[in-house]
Amino acid sequence: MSTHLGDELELYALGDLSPEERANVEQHLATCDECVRALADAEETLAHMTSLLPAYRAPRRSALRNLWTMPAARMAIAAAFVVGLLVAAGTLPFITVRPGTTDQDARAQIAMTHAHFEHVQLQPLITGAPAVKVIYARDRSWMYAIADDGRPGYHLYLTAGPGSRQDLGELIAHDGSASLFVEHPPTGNELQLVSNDRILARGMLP
Amino acid sequence: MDLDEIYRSYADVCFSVAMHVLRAPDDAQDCVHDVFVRVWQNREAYSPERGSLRSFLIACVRNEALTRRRADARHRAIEAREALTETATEFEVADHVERARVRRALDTLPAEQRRALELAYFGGLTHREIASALGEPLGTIKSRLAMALRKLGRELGAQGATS
Repeated sequence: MSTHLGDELELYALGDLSPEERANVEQHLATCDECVRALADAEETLAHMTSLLPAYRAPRRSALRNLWTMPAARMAIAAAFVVGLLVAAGTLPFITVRPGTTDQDARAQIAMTHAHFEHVQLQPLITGAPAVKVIYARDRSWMYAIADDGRPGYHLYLTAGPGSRQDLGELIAHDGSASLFVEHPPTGNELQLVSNDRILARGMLP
Repeated sequence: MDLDEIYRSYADVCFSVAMHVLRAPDDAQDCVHDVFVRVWQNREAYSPERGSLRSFLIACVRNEALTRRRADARHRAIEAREALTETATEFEVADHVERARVRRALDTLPAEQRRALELAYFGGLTHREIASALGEPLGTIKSRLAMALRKLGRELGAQGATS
Protein backbone atom coordinates (compact mmCIF):
# COMPACT_ATOMS: atom_id res chain seq x y z
CA MET A 1 0.00 0.00 0.00
CA SER A 2 1.79 3.12 -1.18
CA THR A 3 -0.50 5.76 0.30
CA HIS A 4 -1.33 5.70 3.96
CA LEU A 5 -4.12 7.40 5.80
CA GLY A 6 -3.49 10.97 6.89
CA ASP A 7 -5.48 13.02 9.34
CA GLU A 8 -8.53 10.87 8.74
CA LEU A 9 -6.90 8.13 10.79
CA GLU A 10 -6.92 10.25 13.96
CA LEU A 11 -10.35 11.63 13.06
CA TYR A 12 -11.57 8.06 12.71
CA ALA A 13 -10.24 7.28 16.17
CA LEU A 14 -12.03 10.33 17.52
CA GLY A 15 -15.26 8.96 16.08
CA ASP A 16 -16.58 11.90 14.10
CA LEU A 17 -16.39 10.86 10.48
CA SER A 18 -19.38 10.49 8.21
CA PRO A 19 -20.47 6.94 7.37
CA GLU A 20 -18.87 7.29 3.94
CA GLU A 21 -15.59 8.53 5.39
CA ARG A 22 -15.60 5.73 7.94
CA ALA A 23 -16.19 3.18 5.21
CA ASN A 24 -13.24 4.55 3.21
CA VAL A 25 -10.97 4.38 6.25
CA GLU A 26 -12.08 0.86 7.07
CA GLN A 27 -11.56 -0.22 3.48
CA HIS A 28 -7.98 1.00 3.69
CA LEU A 29 -7.42 -0.54 7.12
CA ALA A 30 -8.44 -3.90 5.76
CA THR A 31 -5.36 -3.91 3.55
CA CYS A 32 -2.79 -1.85 5.45
CA ASP A 33 -1.14 -3.20 8.58
CA GLU A 34 0.85 -0.04 9.10
CA CYS A 35 -2.28 2.09 9.36
CA VAL A 36 -3.87 -0.50 11.64
CA ARG A 37 -0.92 -0.09 13.99
CA ALA A 38 -1.16 3.70 13.74
CA LEU A 39 -4.85 3.49 14.57
CA ALA A 40 -4.03 1.31 17.56
CA ASP A 41 -1.61 4.00 18.74
CA ALA A 42 -4.25 6.71 18.35
CA GLU A 43 -6.77 4.62 20.27
CA GLU A 44 -4.21 3.94 22.97
CA THR A 45 -3.71 7.69 23.33
CA LEU A 46 -7.45 8.23 23.65
CA ALA A 47 -7.63 5.41 26.16
CA HIS A 48 -5.13 7.29 28.32
CA MET A 49 -7.46 10.29 28.24
CA THR A 50 -10.17 8.27 29.93
CA SER A 51 -8.21 8.71 33.16
CA LEU A 52 -9.38 12.33 33.17
CA LEU A 53 -13.06 11.43 32.85
CA PRO A 54 -15.30 11.03 35.88
CA ALA A 55 -15.17 7.35 36.76
CA TYR A 56 -18.22 5.21 37.35
CA ARG A 57 -18.48 1.66 38.52
CA ALA A 58 -20.16 -0.58 35.97
CA PRO A 59 -23.03 -2.76 37.14
CA ARG A 60 -21.87 -6.27 37.83
CA ARG A 61 -22.76 -8.53 35.03
CA SER A 62 -23.21 -12.10 36.16
CA ALA A 63 -26.75 -11.96 37.42
CA LEU A 64 -28.00 -10.04 34.43
CA ARG A 65 -26.82 -12.79 32.15
CA ASN A 66 -30.29 -13.61 30.89
CA LEU A 67 -30.78 -10.06 29.73
CA TRP A 68 -27.26 -9.93 28.42
CA THR A 69 -27.58 -12.90 26.24
CA MET A 70 -30.98 -11.95 24.94
CA PRO A 71 -30.18 -10.16 21.69
CA ALA A 72 -31.50 -6.65 21.51
CA ALA A 73 -33.50 -7.58 18.46
CA ARG A 74 -35.33 -10.31 20.34
CA MET A 75 -36.08 -7.90 23.15
CA ALA A 76 -37.44 -5.42 20.64
CA ILE A 77 -39.57 -8.04 18.95
CA ALA A 78 -40.90 -9.15 22.29
CA ALA A 79 -41.75 -5.59 23.17
CA ALA A 80 -43.45 -5.12 19.85
CA PHE A 81 -46.01 -7.79 20.59
CA VAL A 82 -48.47 -5.27 21.85
CA VAL A 83 -51.40 -7.34 22.85
CA GLY A 84 -51.93 -5.51 26.09
CA LEU A 85 -51.70 -7.28 29.37
CA LEU A 86 -54.68 -8.69 31.18
CA VAL A 87 -55.12 -5.95 33.66
CA ALA A 88 -57.95 -6.02 36.11
CA ALA A 89 -58.59 -2.29 36.12
CA GLY A 90 -56.35 -1.68 39.08
CA THR A 91 -58.79 -3.12 41.55
CA LEU A 92 -56.88 -6.27 42.33
CA PRO A 93 -54.41 -6.25 45.22
CA PHE A 94 -50.85 -6.68 44.13
CA ILE A 95 -49.80 -10.26 43.91
CA THR A 96 -46.30 -11.50 44.44
CA VAL A 97 -45.85 -14.62 42.36
CA ARG A 98 -43.68 -17.10 44.18
CA PRO A 99 -44.79 -20.59 43.21
CA GLY A 100 -41.22 -21.39 42.27
CA THR A 101 -38.35 -19.70 40.60
CA THR A 102 -38.71 -21.27 37.22
CA ASP A 103 -42.39 -20.55 37.05
CA GLN A 104 -41.87 -17.02 38.21
CA ASP A 105 -39.21 -16.26 35.62
CA ALA A 106 -41.27 -17.97 32.94
CA ARG A 107 -44.25 -15.82 33.80
CA ALA A 108 -42.07 -12.74 33.62
CA GLN A 109 -40.83 -13.72 30.19
CA ILE A 110 -44.37 -14.37 28.98
CA ALA A 111 -45.44 -11.00 30.39
CA MET A 112 -42.61 -9.32 28.51
CA THR A 113 -43.74 -10.85 25.25
CA HIS A 114 -47.22 -9.44 25.71
CA ALA A 115 -46.55 -5.88 26.76
CA HIS A 116 -44.47 -2.83 26.11
CA PHE A 117 -42.00 -2.59 28.93
CA GLU A 118 -39.31 -0.30 30.27
CA HIS A 119 -36.56 -0.86 32.74
CA VAL A 120 -34.76 1.04 35.46
CA GLN A 121 -31.37 0.28 36.95
CA LEU A 122 -31.36 0.76 40.72
CA GLN A 123 -28.38 2.79 41.81
CA PRO A 124 -26.33 1.46 44.72
CA LEU A 125 -26.26 3.54 47.87
CA ILE A 126 -23.57 1.49 49.57
CA THR A 127 -20.47 -0.32 48.42
CA GLY A 128 -21.17 -3.95 47.66
CA ALA A 129 -24.84 -3.49 46.90
CA PRO A 130 -26.00 -5.92 44.23
CA ALA A 131 -26.76 -4.67 40.76
CA VAL A 132 -30.53 -4.63 40.34
CA LYS A 133 -32.57 -4.05 37.24
CA VAL A 134 -36.34 -3.69 37.41
CA ILE A 135 -38.31 -4.29 34.24
CA TYR A 136 -41.86 -3.02 34.31
CA ALA A 137 -44.83 -2.89 31.99
CA ARG A 138 -45.58 0.57 30.71
CA ASP A 139 -49.07 0.21 32.08
CA ARG A 140 -47.49 -0.81 35.42
CA SER A 141 -49.42 -4.06 35.49
CA TRP A 142 -46.29 -5.98 36.50
CA MET A 143 -42.71 -5.58 37.59
CA TYR A 144 -39.80 -7.97 37.37
CA ALA A 145 -36.70 -7.36 39.46
CA ILE A 146 -33.39 -9.13 38.90
CA ALA A 147 -30.38 -8.85 41.20
CA ASP A 148 -26.90 -10.19 40.60
CA ASP A 149 -26.60 -11.63 44.08
CA GLY A 150 -28.03 -14.97 45.14
CA ARG A 151 -28.13 -14.27 48.86
CA PRO A 152 -31.52 -14.34 50.56
CA GLY A 153 -33.12 -11.40 52.33
CA TYR A 154 -33.38 -8.82 49.58
CA HIS A 155 -36.79 -7.14 49.47
CA LEU A 156 -38.16 -4.84 46.83
CA TYR A 157 -40.09 -1.87 48.15
CA LEU A 158 -42.18 0.68 46.30
CA THR A 159 -42.87 4.06 47.81
CA ALA A 160 -45.34 6.77 46.90
CA GLY A 161 -44.21 9.31 49.47
CA PRO A 162 -43.55 9.47 53.20
CA GLY A 163 -45.22 6.65 55.10
CA SER A 164 -46.46 4.85 52.03
CA ARG A 165 -43.72 2.30 51.50
CA GLN A 166 -44.88 -1.18 50.56
CA ASP A 167 -42.87 -4.37 50.56
CA LEU A 168 -43.48 -6.07 47.21
CA GLY A 169 -41.76 -9.22 48.40
CA GLU A 170 -38.46 -10.94 48.84
CA LEU A 171 -36.35 -11.69 45.79
CA ILE A 172 -36.07 -15.41 45.23
CA ALA A 173 -32.45 -16.54 45.07
CA HIS A 174 -31.27 -18.99 42.46
CA ASP A 175 -28.00 -19.72 40.68
CA GLY A 176 -26.11 -16.72 41.98
CA SER A 177 -28.88 -14.26 41.26
CA ALA A 178 -32.28 -13.40 42.64
CA SER A 179 -35.51 -12.26 41.06
CA LEU A 180 -39.04 -11.24 41.87
CA PHE A 181 -42.08 -10.99 39.63
CA VAL A 182 -44.93 -8.85 40.92
CA GLU A 183 -48.31 -8.54 39.30
CA HIS A 184 -50.46 -5.49 39.91
CA PRO A 185 -48.01 -3.59 42.08
CA PRO A 186 -49.34 -0.64 44.07
CA THR A 187 -48.87 2.91 42.87
CA GLY A 188 -45.48 4.39 43.63
CA ASN A 189 -42.55 6.14 42.09
CA GLU A 190 -39.46 5.03 43.98
CA LEU A 191 -38.12 1.50 44.03
CA GLN A 192 -35.86 0.43 46.85
CA LEU A 193 -33.84 -2.69 47.44
CA VAL A 194 -33.87 -3.32 51.16
CA SER A 195 -32.05 -5.84 53.32
CA ASN A 196 -32.29 -5.91 57.13
CA ASP A 197 -34.16 -2.59 57.04
CA ARG A 198 -31.33 -0.96 55.18
CA ILE A 199 -31.85 0.60 51.76
CA LEU A 200 -29.09 -0.76 49.52
CA ALA A 201 -30.13 0.70 46.18
CA ARG A 202 -32.91 2.72 44.71
CA GLY A 203 -34.29 4.02 41.47
CA MET A 204 -37.05 6.28 40.28
CA LEU A 205 -39.92 5.31 38.06
CA PRO A 206 -40.94 8.00 35.61
CA MET B 1 -9.59 -14.82 29.03
CA ASP B 2 -13.33 -15.44 29.08
CA LEU B 3 -16.09 -12.88 28.75
CA ASP B 4 -16.62 -12.59 32.51
CA GLU B 5 -12.94 -11.92 33.08
CA ILE B 6 -12.85 -9.33 30.32
CA TYR B 7 -15.91 -7.67 31.78
CA ARG B 8 -14.41 -7.59 35.26
CA SER B 9 -11.19 -6.09 33.90
CA TYR B 10 -12.54 -3.42 31.59
CA ALA B 11 -16.20 -2.76 32.35
CA ASP B 12 -15.60 0.14 34.73
CA VAL B 13 -13.50 2.18 32.35
CA CYS B 14 -15.78 1.38 29.41
CA PHE B 15 -18.86 2.24 31.45
CA SER B 16 -17.26 5.56 32.44
CA VAL B 17 -16.57 6.36 28.80
CA ALA B 18 -20.14 5.48 27.83
CA MET B 19 -21.50 7.52 30.73
CA HIS B 20 -19.49 10.51 29.60
CA VAL B 21 -21.08 10.35 26.17
CA LEU B 22 -24.60 9.15 26.94
CA ARG B 23 -25.08 10.58 30.48
CA ALA B 24 -27.70 7.99 31.40
CA PRO B 25 -26.62 4.89 33.35
CA ASP B 26 -29.11 2.55 31.69
CA ASP B 27 -28.07 3.65 28.22
CA ALA B 28 -24.40 3.42 29.13
CA GLN B 29 -24.87 -0.06 30.50
CA ASP B 30 -26.75 -1.21 27.42
CA CYS B 31 -24.05 0.25 25.22
CA VAL B 32 -21.23 -1.46 27.11
CA HIS B 33 -23.06 -4.77 27.22
CA ASP B 34 -23.83 -4.72 23.52
CA VAL B 35 -20.24 -3.87 22.60
CA PHE B 36 -18.75 -6.53 24.87
CA VAL B 37 -21.06 -9.19 23.52
CA ARG B 38 -20.40 -8.12 19.94
CA VAL B 39 -16.65 -8.12 20.45
CA TRP B 40 -16.84 -11.50 22.17
CA GLN B 41 -18.92 -13.00 19.41
CA ASN B 42 -16.40 -11.73 16.83
CA ARG B 43 -13.31 -12.26 18.95
CA GLU B 44 -11.40 -13.91 16.12
CA ALA B 45 -11.42 -10.50 14.41
CA TYR B 46 -9.32 -8.98 17.18
CA SER B 47 -5.56 -9.37 17.09
CA PRO B 48 -2.79 -7.84 19.20
CA GLU B 49 -1.73 -5.73 16.20
CA ARG B 50 -5.00 -3.91 16.70
CA GLY B 51 -3.61 -2.54 19.98
CA SER B 52 -4.27 -3.49 23.58
CA LEU B 53 -7.63 -5.09 24.28
CA ARG B 54 -8.32 -2.29 26.75
CA SER B 55 -7.87 0.54 24.25
CA PHE B 56 -9.68 -1.47 21.59
CA LEU B 57 -12.72 -1.94 23.83
CA ILE B 58 -12.67 1.69 24.92
CA ALA B 59 -12.61 2.80 21.29
CA CYS B 60 -15.45 0.45 20.40
CA VAL B 61 -17.57 1.62 23.33
CA ARG B 62 -16.90 5.29 22.67
CA ASN B 63 -17.76 4.99 18.99
CA GLU B 64 -20.90 3.02 19.75
CA ALA B 65 -21.93 5.57 22.37
CA LEU B 66 -21.33 8.46 19.96
CA THR B 67 -23.37 6.69 17.30
CA ARG B 68 -26.24 6.12 19.72
CA ARG B 69 -26.18 9.68 20.95
CA ARG B 70 -26.23 11.12 17.47
CA ALA B 71 -29.01 8.78 16.43
CA ASP B 72 -31.20 10.00 19.23
CA ALA B 73 -29.79 13.39 20.09
CA ARG B 74 -33.04 15.09 20.95
CA HIS B 75 -34.21 12.32 23.24
CA ARG B 76 -30.87 12.27 25.04
CA ALA B 77 -30.86 16.00 25.54
CA ILE B 78 -34.17 15.82 27.34
CA GLU B 79 -33.13 13.02 29.63
CA ALA B 80 -29.46 13.75 30.18
CA ARG B 81 -29.32 16.08 33.13
CA GLU B 82 -31.97 14.32 35.17
CA ALA B 83 -30.55 10.88 34.58
CA LEU B 84 -27.04 11.89 35.51
CA THR B 85 -27.92 13.74 38.66
CA GLU B 86 -30.41 11.20 39.91
CA THR B 87 -28.81 7.89 39.36
CA ALA B 88 -25.11 7.95 38.58
CA THR B 89 -22.67 6.97 41.26
CA GLU B 90 -19.22 8.38 40.73
CA PHE B 91 -16.31 6.91 42.56
CA GLU B 92 -12.87 8.23 43.28
CA VAL B 93 -10.24 7.40 40.74
CA ALA B 94 -7.31 5.64 42.29
CA ASP B 95 -4.78 6.22 39.55
CA HIS B 96 -3.70 9.77 40.30
CA VAL B 97 -0.32 9.12 38.74
CA GLU B 98 -1.89 8.34 35.38
CA ARG B 99 -4.12 11.41 35.58
CA ALA B 100 -1.16 13.66 36.32
CA ARG B 101 0.81 12.12 33.48
CA VAL B 102 -1.99 12.73 30.97
CA ARG B 103 -2.49 16.27 32.23
CA ARG B 104 1.21 17.00 31.81
CA ALA B 105 1.10 15.63 28.28
CA LEU B 106 -1.96 17.72 27.44
CA ASP B 107 -0.17 20.79 28.77
CA THR B 108 2.56 20.35 26.20
CA LEU B 109 0.10 20.84 23.32
CA PRO B 110 -0.20 24.24 21.68
CA ALA B 111 -3.19 26.01 23.22
CA GLU B 112 -5.32 25.84 20.07
CA GLN B 113 -4.70 22.11 19.66
CA ARG B 114 -5.43 21.39 23.27
CA ARG B 115 -8.63 23.43 23.13
CA ALA B 116 -9.89 21.60 20.06
CA LEU B 117 -9.07 18.19 21.52
CA GLU B 118 -10.71 19.00 24.84
CA LEU B 119 -13.86 20.23 23.10
CA ALA B 120 -13.99 17.05 21.04
CA TYR B 121 -13.16 14.55 23.74
CA PHE B 122 -14.41 16.03 26.98
CA GLY B 123 -17.02 18.41 25.55
CA GLY B 124 -18.39 15.87 23.10
CA LEU B 125 -18.64 18.45 20.33
CA THR B 126 -18.56 17.40 16.71
CA HIS B 127 -15.80 18.78 14.54
CA ARG B 128 -18.30 21.06 12.87
CA GLU B 129 -19.49 22.35 16.25
CA ILE B 130 -15.92 23.02 17.31
CA ALA B 131 -15.29 24.95 14.11
CA SER B 132 -18.37 27.00 14.78
CA ALA B 133 -17.51 27.59 18.43
CA LEU B 134 -13.96 28.68 17.66
CA GLY B 135 -14.78 30.55 14.46
CA GLU B 136 -12.33 28.48 12.43
CA PRO B 137 -12.71 26.60 9.15
CA LEU B 138 -13.73 22.96 9.51
CA GLY B 139 -10.60 21.78 7.73
CA THR B 140 -8.41 23.69 10.17
CA ILE B 141 -10.14 22.06 13.12
CA LYS B 142 -9.74 18.61 11.63
CA SER B 143 -6.03 19.13 11.04
CA ARG B 144 -5.63 20.56 14.49
CA LEU B 145 -7.34 17.60 16.11
CA ALA B 146 -5.25 15.10 14.19
CA MET B 147 -2.03 16.92 15.08
CA ALA B 148 -3.09 17.19 18.71
CA LEU B 149 -3.75 13.49 18.97
CA ARG B 150 -0.44 12.56 17.33
CA LYS B 151 1.52 14.94 19.54
CA LEU B 152 -0.26 13.78 22.66
CA GLY B 153 0.59 10.19 21.79
CA ARG B 154 4.25 11.07 21.33
CA GLU B 155 4.30 12.97 24.63
CA LEU B 156 2.69 10.11 26.52
CA GLY B 157 5.15 7.72 24.95
CA ALA B 158 8.06 9.93 25.91
CA GLN B 159 6.79 10.39 29.46
CA GLY B 160 6.20 6.68 29.75
CA ALA B 161 9.75 6.03 28.62
CA THR B 162 11.26 8.45 31.11
CA SER B 163 9.03 7.92 34.13
